[in-house]
Amino acid sequence: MIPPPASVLVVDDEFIIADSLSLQVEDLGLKVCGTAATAQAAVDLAREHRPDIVLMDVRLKGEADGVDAALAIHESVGAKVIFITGSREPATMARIAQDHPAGVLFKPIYGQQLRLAIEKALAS
Amino acid sequence: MRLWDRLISPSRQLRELNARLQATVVEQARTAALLRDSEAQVRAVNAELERRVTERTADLSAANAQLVEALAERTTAETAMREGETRLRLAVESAKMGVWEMDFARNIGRLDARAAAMSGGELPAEAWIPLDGREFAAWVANIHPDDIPIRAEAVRAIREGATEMVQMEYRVMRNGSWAWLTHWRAVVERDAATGAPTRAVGVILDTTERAQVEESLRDALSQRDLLLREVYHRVKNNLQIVDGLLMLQSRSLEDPKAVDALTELRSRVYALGLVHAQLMASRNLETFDIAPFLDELIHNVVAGGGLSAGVTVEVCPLEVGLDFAVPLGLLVTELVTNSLKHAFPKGPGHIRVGLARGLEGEALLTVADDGPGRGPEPTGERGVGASIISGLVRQLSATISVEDDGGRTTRIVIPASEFA
Repeated sequence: MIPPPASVLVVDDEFIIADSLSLQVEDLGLKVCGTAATAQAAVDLAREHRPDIVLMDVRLKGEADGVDAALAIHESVGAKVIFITGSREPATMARIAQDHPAGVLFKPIYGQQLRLAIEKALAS
Repeated sequence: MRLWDRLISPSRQLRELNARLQATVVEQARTAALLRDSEAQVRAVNAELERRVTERTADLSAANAQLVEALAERTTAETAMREGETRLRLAVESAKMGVWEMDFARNIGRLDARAAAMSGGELPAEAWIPLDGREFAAWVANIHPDDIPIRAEAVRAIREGATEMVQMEYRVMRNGSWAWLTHWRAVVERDAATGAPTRAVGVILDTTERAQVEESLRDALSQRDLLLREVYHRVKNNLQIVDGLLMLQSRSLEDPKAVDALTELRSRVYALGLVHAQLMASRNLETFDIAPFLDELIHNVVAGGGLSAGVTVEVCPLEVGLDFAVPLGLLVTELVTNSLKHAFPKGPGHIRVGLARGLEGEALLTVADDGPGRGPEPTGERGVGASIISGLVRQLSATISVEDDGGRTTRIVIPASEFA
């Protein structure tokens, strides 16, 4: 029996980015279990669907950011989180490091970066 | 007889007179000689006296000259000293400095009126106070906790004679708010035997206003940095959205040429986004090293092309700004995309990108592939890529040469004035 494809939760407050990321994930043969635009929605969806991987934007709408969401998801669901950040600033990097991420991608992401990061996260 | 006597007596009388006269003459002669002698003596003494007087006068006038000279020197020294003092006073006054004096031998210190006011008004002015007394300890306790160690270290260095002069900056609580003080202190006297400092003077300057200006400048600068980062971030995020739109659009297309066109467009958008990512990460938010930028750009453009072409990037470090990085990044994207599109019809090959500096500082960009070669583009086939390349070469005041020798090598020379 073929194992079901890995499921991915996509978190980004820009619909077009979340949508294009979802399509790229599906092109890789994986299943997108949902997209979220806020930290709270991300945590709720993760608890509901228990995804293998979360693609997490750092800046999100609302008070809590992607790192807050990732820490909560990590604790309750244990999914692997790949951060997608627009900033390489030390402060952001330090916050991301708190969550021991499975990967960090910097916007703009292009080419094979997403595929390589997901493969690496699934293999670990 | 008598008579005779009387007769002859005149002659006797004459004789006697004559004798007396002669005696008188002799006597007079002797007296005259004596007189002459004493006169000579007097003259001699007089001459001696005159000689001595002359000598003494000479001595006196020499001494007098020396005295005048010494007086003149002293006047000059006094003038210089007064001038020095005046200058110091002017400096202290015009800079509105306070003055401290420290007598380590007696362990006392003294502040002038300005120093006393400046340091918070807790210490008495123009009075010697013990350095180990309650008054002074209370003042030290009034220093900002963060600055206490800084001041203590400077004070120790002077007190122990480890240095001749120190400068310390610290804050004190004055009228309910922190005032910045800049304090210089120097050793003026040391114990002849032990060398330990016995006296020190200090000048103290109120730098609160300057510190406030500096702080507001720092605030303005970090505000500017924050805004610039935000702008770069948004540009980058918007370009990511444009990329998402292009991707969504390309999925709805069936014409492979149209899909290829959108893929190329995505790589150009990616080059623009990557420039902003570098700017955001740069220290001054204006310039960044082109080497890691080109390395990342080229590897991702090659990976995005879907072909597994090998790639070698040899780029020298070069600090550049937005105005140079954008056209250069787009040029490299076009040239690498061209190689991916045209050079390897029979399977994967290798692309080599180099950037080096020439003898006159010019940048030498080389993009070479090892494909089987492809000759000049047929007329009418000159697409968007070719016009982008020639336009950007013009924009950069550069020259371009293309060599087809098995593979294709494109060389672009950009004058240093474009990026220096």
